[in-house]
Amino acid sequence: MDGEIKDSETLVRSLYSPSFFDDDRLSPYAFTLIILNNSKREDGVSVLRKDLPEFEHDLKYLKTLKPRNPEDSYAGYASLVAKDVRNIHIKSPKHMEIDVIPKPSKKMKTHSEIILKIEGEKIIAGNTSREYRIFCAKLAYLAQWEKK
Amino acid sequence: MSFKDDIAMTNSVRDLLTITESIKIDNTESNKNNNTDNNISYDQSFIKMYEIMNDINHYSIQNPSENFQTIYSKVYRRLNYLSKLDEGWDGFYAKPVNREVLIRLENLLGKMDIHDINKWAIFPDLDGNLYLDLKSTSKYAGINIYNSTFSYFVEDETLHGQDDIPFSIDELIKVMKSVA
Repeated sequence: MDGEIKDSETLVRSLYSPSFFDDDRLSPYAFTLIILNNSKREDGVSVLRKDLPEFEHDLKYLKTLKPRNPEDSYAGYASLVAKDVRNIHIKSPKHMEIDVIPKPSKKMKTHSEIILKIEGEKIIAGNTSREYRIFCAKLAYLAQWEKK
Repeated sequence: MSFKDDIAMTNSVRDLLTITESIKIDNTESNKNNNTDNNISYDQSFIKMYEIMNDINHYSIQNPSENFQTIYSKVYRRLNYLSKLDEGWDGFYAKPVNREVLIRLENLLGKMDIHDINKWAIFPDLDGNLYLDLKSTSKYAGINIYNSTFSYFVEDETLHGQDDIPFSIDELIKVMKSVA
């Protein structure tokens, strides 16, 4: 299961706020890397691999995670095809690499991450470059999404 | 009253929505007969609403394809909604939207054609600022509005943009129009 993610695979990102949706648009901030409570900075956009048998179990687990605010809850999801993500092209003179890699955890076997490297450096939460901002915008544009 | 342009129209819709909101608040607080402070009174509010609605209806009849009220109400309600987000609204650690930033965008409503504003989706970022996302399908562009500055990027032939532009409504309008 840890093997390479096929181009044809569907990736699903759970969303925990209706504020990521506005009419027919999905916010690029639905894909933003965040700085966690322990000050650790995310370096990959968390997604689940929909085509694996454990997907439903993992999604169910995500839906039951206790949100920070009691009134928050699972608000919907965004799905992307791995090939589309890998084929994102950004018109920058900087060298950029985009990939999706498996990163299973004890509780979520289908967990994986979308990563972005600019000039060989893995982008982490807090980056404000145009390349990173448009990367998030393109993820949002590519995503099929559904509001709960 | 007559509307010479879209902006005058949008200002009136904003007045109407503001009055409606104030009436709702008064009603909730059972304050119908005691509202004698500096604000407009309850009865005066209804008279003012009636006058504005007449003008809006008249304008809408003259401009049937424009649908100003719908667009304006949608943008206004979106800003109102965003103003109520609590800390952690994303389910994690996002900050509430900064009031100053909201006011900056609300001020835009009376100074820019509502159709030009409607080319942009409005989202909160995770740090209490606002982000405008171009709705176009032919190019990507975004504007981040901060407390005292704004930044933008656009990808057409190349990826370009500008950061840390001192905030002014005129500059923001200029960028929004040139990018969209």
